[in-house]
Parts: sequence; structure tokens; C-alpha cells
Amino acid sequence: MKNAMVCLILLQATVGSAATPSFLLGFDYSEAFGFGDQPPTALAIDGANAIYMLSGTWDATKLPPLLFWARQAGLIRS
Amino acid sequence: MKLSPDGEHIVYLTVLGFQASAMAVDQAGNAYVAGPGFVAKLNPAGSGWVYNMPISAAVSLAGVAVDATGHAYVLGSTAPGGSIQTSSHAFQQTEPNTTYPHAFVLRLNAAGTGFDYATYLTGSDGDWPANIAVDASGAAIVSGTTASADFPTTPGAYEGPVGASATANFLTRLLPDGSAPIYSALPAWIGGPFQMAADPDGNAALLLFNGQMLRFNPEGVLTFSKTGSGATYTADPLAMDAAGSTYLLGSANAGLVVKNSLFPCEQGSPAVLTVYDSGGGVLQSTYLPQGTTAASLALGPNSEVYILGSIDSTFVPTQSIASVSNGPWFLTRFAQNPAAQPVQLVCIVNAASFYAAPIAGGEIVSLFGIGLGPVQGAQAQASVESGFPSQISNVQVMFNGSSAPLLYVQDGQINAIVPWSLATASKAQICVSYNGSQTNCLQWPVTSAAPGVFTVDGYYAAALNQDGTINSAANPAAPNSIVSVFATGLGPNDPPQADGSIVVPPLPVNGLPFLACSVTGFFGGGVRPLENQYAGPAPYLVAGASQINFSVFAEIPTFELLSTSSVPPYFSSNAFGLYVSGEAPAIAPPASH
Repeated sequence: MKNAMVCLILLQATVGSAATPSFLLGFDYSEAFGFGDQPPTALAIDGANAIYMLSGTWDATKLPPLLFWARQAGLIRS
Repeated sequence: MKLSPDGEHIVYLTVLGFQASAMAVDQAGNAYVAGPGFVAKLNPAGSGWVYNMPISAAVSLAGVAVDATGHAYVLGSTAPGGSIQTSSHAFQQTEPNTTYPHAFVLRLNAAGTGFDYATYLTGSDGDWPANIAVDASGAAIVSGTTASADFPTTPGAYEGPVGASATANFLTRLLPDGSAPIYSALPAWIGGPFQMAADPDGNAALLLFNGQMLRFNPEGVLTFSKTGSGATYTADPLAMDAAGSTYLLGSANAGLVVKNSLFPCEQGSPAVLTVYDSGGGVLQSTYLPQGTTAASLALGPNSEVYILGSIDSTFVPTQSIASVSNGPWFLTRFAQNPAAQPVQLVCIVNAASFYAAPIAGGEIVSLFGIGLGPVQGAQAQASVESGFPSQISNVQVMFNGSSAPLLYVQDGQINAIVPWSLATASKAQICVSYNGSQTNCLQWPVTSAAPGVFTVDGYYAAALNQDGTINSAANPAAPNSIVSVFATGLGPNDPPQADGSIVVPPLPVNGLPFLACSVTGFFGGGVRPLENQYAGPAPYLVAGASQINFSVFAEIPTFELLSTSSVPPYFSSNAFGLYVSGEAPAIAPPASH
């Protein structure tokens, strides 16, 4: 039983491998934002790395004043 | 909302005025938004619509994709009684009935004035579309679930094993003109929500609700699958890049092992981003910044990785969006960086359950990282007289300054035993030393017990039958026979054992009582203590390893170890299974615990 147990433990250990030098992601940045009532439901990136987020609702009271124009310019579809 | 490429400025934030169900963006920055019964294209400045193309009022749109030439592709389904106007050369021009929702695929012309094609993709029962992608040839790749026994599939298409669900998961790649499928397959029968992504060559990856990931080539041939990969279902956890690599958000608790992680793990269910190459090999697998719960993943033009989700109070951002207050959501970006410095000591988990949970004195743990020891793994040489060593191949592990007995050391993983002295601490600083060089240290919570049962595959226990043979599908235990399972993290022994010592008779006992119990299934029926013969330190194994012998019944598939103290805290192990043969005997009513 002793040998079996040791083997069983070591079976759990057969993991890990060397790095692949040609592929290595690095961390660029992280940021927080708080003006959405719900988390954005979609995330997309364009060819210039601009970032697009789609959210179901926005809490207007948490929008900064400089964005007032953007809200007023909202493209309402009737 | 559109953010600048550096993520620090809002380019526009506009209220659409309708409930959008999906969004895609082209290379130039036009946004394609699926609304109730229509698709609209917003210009790069967010200042006006380029077009607004109605489809039908009686449809719901599940997804939108856009190709390099600005053609939008839409996946949707009809509402009962609803229909769409199909094109003359469409694969399926007629709707089988208007009783059930039926999936359809549309391609808009570049001007958004009409459809290049519009086809149903359905059987006679209901379909629930999920995702759409488009490859560089203009072939739409779509996925969803169907209850239709006659859902159109192509000859020889991959078909997964029929599961418990009455709905199948479909994956279809259409010709660019929408006239026929290149392939159409039912790769799984587990239903539920799931996710799909595709690359420009037409390879596709599916993430099923059970966490299994399947990858298909452009002809629909399965190239690899990953079970127990740690994948979790989130809003949008899957993406593929132009090299055919698959990016997946998952959880490390399911046994996923990180590689070149940029952050140490956290206790609980730490989120992991894993990148698989086209053959299924792991290119990189990294934890995410502390305090984050990932939900959505998207790739930039050069495979930059953007992740969106929620945060807790421990999250510390590295930058902010101008004029925007912090809040419950986060955005982070990773990109190729040959100079990136992966974390050396990444995580500590229970060696049996692989849970990244608070640790206990005497618990056998696995530490993961890079550069933790020799490339070739080295095992401990131990005897009853010497016990297990605290140094192998110039590797040492320190818990609050105390050396831990070692079982195995290797570059990426160390198996060690938490010193018993840690039982009196509330936190531990864990550091590894290799060849005299110390890694980063983990700060980790300590508890009095952290039970984990060793398994062979993440679920079935590493167990011995009553005759001493290994329990397996080919060698199940007989009903009412006694099996032995092995565990660790059951807390202190009485009398106390020395670190790394091998337990010999007279056997000590567990300070905390534990029982193996059956768990009566998915519907919360309670637990039933089994007829336990023994639950305590395992004879002739290292102190900290426990053995539990108990009688098994054929009809009970899932077990746990539960502490039986009369006062909290209470502890439970990972759930585990056993192979048991024979007919089900009569069972007594479940007892409460």
C-alpha cells in the first residue's frame, strides 16, 4: 500500500513543462470603471486597438460632466 | 462606449435608445449593433448611423460578425409565428413551420441596403442560436442548440456522444454565398449555453457548458478536445487568433496548471487565461490581476488580449480612464512581450483536490511556478528512520521560516508537506529556495483543516479495493465491500507527529473526526454517513496522509469527507467517485449531517 500511495501522489505531479520562448504575453495595464449598472455584455477591438463595450444600462448619475454632450447626442432610434 | 487604444480616454459614449443584443466592430472602427429586429452600423466617431437595416419584427438576434470588406453577418431565430425573407439561392429557403423558433443566417451587403443571402438553418423543432463568426473567405461559422432530430448535418460530420440532454449543440460553416454548408455537425448533446470562436482560416473552437473545449479544422474535423481544462462558462470566454491559437478564460480549481503566469494565484477559484496552440499544447496560462473575476475576452489586431469583468476591494488598477470614477468593472490588456517576467512561485494548492484554499498543518500541497527546481524531477528518499527530507536537489520550501518536508521537486512543481507548526498561525509566508536563490513569496491564509481526497482524474478516487487492488472501471469494488481512499489536510494528529515522519503503529488519531459520506446527487438530498471502518493517519505513509476505509453501495455515485465536529468550523473535501459493481441493494433513508 505504501508504494501505491506514493505513486498515486506522484501521478498528481506529472505536470508542468518548459516555456515556449516564441509566445509570451506580458501585462500592459488594468483599470476600473463604475458607470455601468451592469457589466458590459460585449467587448470588441478595432484595427487600431480602440476598445468598444456594449452595456445594457448606464447609470447617468455616474457619468462625468464632460460626457453630457455624448449622452445628449445619443442616437435614439424610434 | 469607445475607448482610445491606450484605454485612458473615452472617444464616445452614446445611448443607443434600444436594447442591443450583440455587437461587432470592423477594422476601421465602425460598430455593428444587433437590435430588436434590425442591424445598425454606427460610424467610427459614434456620431451617426451609416445604415440601419430592418430584418423582421418577429425575430431575435443572437450574434453579429463582420468581415474585412465590411459585410455584416447575422445569426438569429424567428419568434413563434415569425419568419424572414430568404434569398433565392439560400441553403434553406422555407421555414418548416412557424410553431417553433428557427435559426437563420443573413449576410448584409456592404452598403447595408439588402442581403447577399438569407437562409434558414433549422430542423422541424426549435433552434436556439448562440454565436456567429466569419473567416477570411467570407464563410460564416455559427453555433447553437437544437431540439430538431432532423437538423441538417453533412455526411461524415463529427458527432459527439449522445448525452442526457434532449438538445444537441450544432456547429455549421456555410459557403460564402450561403447556398450550402461546408460542414454541419452536432458535436455534443449536452445543450445549455455555450460559446464558439473561429479564426480567419475557418478553424473553430467550442466551449461547452460542462467546461469541455473542442477545436475543429475548417472541414469540421475535430483536432483536439480539452476536458477538465478548467474552463468555466462566462459571458464570452473564448477567442481565436490568426495563428489558430485559442484563448480561454477558466478556473484553476479544475486542475488546470498555469505556465508563465504573470500573477500569483489567489485562494478560491482563481481565474486563468490559457492560450492553446493549434495542436492543443499550452502556450501560456496565467492568472489574472488580483481581485478580478473575468467575464469577457476579445483580441486586438496583433493578438493583444483584452479582458473585461468585475472586481472586488483588493483590485488595484494601474491606470484610470480620464474623468471616470472607479467602479465594479475592470478592463485589462495583455500583449506579446518577450521581456515579460513570469512569476516564479505562482500558486499553492491541496495536492489531492487541487483547491487553492487556506492551508493546514500537515497538508500535502503542490506549489506551481517556474524555476522552482531542476528540470528533471527528483523524488525524496525516505525511510522510517529518516523520514522525508526538507531539502532535495538544493530545493527548500519555507513556511513562516520553517522548512517543509519535500516529496518531489521539479522546475514547475514541488510537492511538500505543510509544517505542523503552522497550525497555530493565521497566515503563512511561503517561499522557495533553489540553488541558494529565493523566489517571490506567497502570503496565504491558514486554517485548522483543509481536507482533500486524492483522485486519479479529478473525480474518481485513487482507491484500493478490499483485496488491495486498485479501484477502476475494469476492477470495481463489490457492493458492501470495503474500499480505502487516501486524503490529506485532515488536521493535527494526536499525539503530534514530527514533520516528515513516517507513521508507524501504534497509530495516532486525528484530532478532528472525519467521516466518508455519500452525497445523494444534484438535487440537494443531503448526505449519508457510510459504515466507516477507519479514518485516520495512513500507516507507513508520511504524517499528514490519511486513509479512510468504508463500505460502499452500488447506487451511490458521489462521496465526500466531512468533519463531524459538533461545533464550527466544519470542513468538507472535494467530491469524489468510486467504481462499484453489482446491483443496487436497498438503501436506507438519507441521514442528515
